[in-house]
Amino acid sequence: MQISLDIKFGQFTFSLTTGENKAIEFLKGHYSTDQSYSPPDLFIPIKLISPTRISAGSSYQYTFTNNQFNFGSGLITGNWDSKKKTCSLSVDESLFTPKEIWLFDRFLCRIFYTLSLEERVKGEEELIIHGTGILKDGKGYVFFGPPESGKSTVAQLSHRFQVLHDDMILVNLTENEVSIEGVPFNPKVVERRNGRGELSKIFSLHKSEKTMIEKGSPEEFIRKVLPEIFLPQPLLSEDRKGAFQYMLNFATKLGERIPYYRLFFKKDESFWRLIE
Amino acid sequence: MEDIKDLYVKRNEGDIIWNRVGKEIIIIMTRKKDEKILRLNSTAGFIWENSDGKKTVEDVVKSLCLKYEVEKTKAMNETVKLLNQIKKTELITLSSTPL
Repeated sequence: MQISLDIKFGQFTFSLTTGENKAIEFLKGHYSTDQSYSPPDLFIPIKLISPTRISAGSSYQYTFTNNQFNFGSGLITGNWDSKKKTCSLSVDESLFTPKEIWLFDRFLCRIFYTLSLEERVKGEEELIIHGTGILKDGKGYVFFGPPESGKSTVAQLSHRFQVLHDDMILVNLTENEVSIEGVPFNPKVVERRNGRGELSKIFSLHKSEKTMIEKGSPEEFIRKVLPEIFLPQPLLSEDRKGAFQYMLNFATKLGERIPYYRLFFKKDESFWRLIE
Repeated sequence: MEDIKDLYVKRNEGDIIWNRVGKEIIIIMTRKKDEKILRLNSTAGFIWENSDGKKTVEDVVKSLCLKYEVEKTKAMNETVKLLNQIKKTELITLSSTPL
């Protein structure tokens, strides 16, 4: 018997289907806060395959021919059918474990980009940034930085507010609004809640003994944020240059429209008083 | 040996994307396993934007002097220094004929 799980990823509903009860139960837990009740925009039938050893380098290898793709040297293989809005997958069952699910999450991001770029409404752009996203009093804040910069710490210290995610934030840019929401994966350390709000300010994170905020320039923002953006490359495209151009244009617009600050913070909530 | 000032200078477009952001130019080298983000300040950005393959280094320096009101010898020295630096990263090509 096939069992389905509909999850919300940005504007889209993905319908994951598999005959493996154990797998779907695991996925239900992993995507528990993002189950969707809208009609699916994309069907993702999943066939599980026996586990292979995941080697360090294999995780990032990706090849495709026509509409067939192979991610991580056989960890995820499948095909993309644009007309039927179906992405059929064969997935190494070891990915559906707490330790390895991040690889499937990353792949889902790529599926998201593929659909987002295919279905894109003119004037609307979306990108995923490695960052913590928080809604407070209806306003959205993004805190970004490289690993160990304090994204999860900021999320933990903001538990009184609506933490959208502590690692990956979806930013939506239209002519009239810049909004944020979380990606549908379980965050690293905090409990996340669904939500979407207008982006008010962006902060790069710097651990410090003293909490302070400094205004940064759009130029500095772009230099710092580019390495933290999940490259928007669709599944069946080798156009890295196009993906980087999209990313750079997006970051440039974001830097021009949203105030950017450097946040130096110590491990307490006092930074929120400064932000307010 | 040809003098560098007489060479035509062209920024490379393959595997490279760039945007002007305020006073700076942000360049991304997109080649897989060799991704780099580079930043050029105002004057370096001006040289970059003028490196269209139709101008010689001397033409670029003349424009630079007009734009920033700097002395020609100083501008030439700085430009040559910059071009020698970024030439190593395959960002520009120098040629004796227009590109």
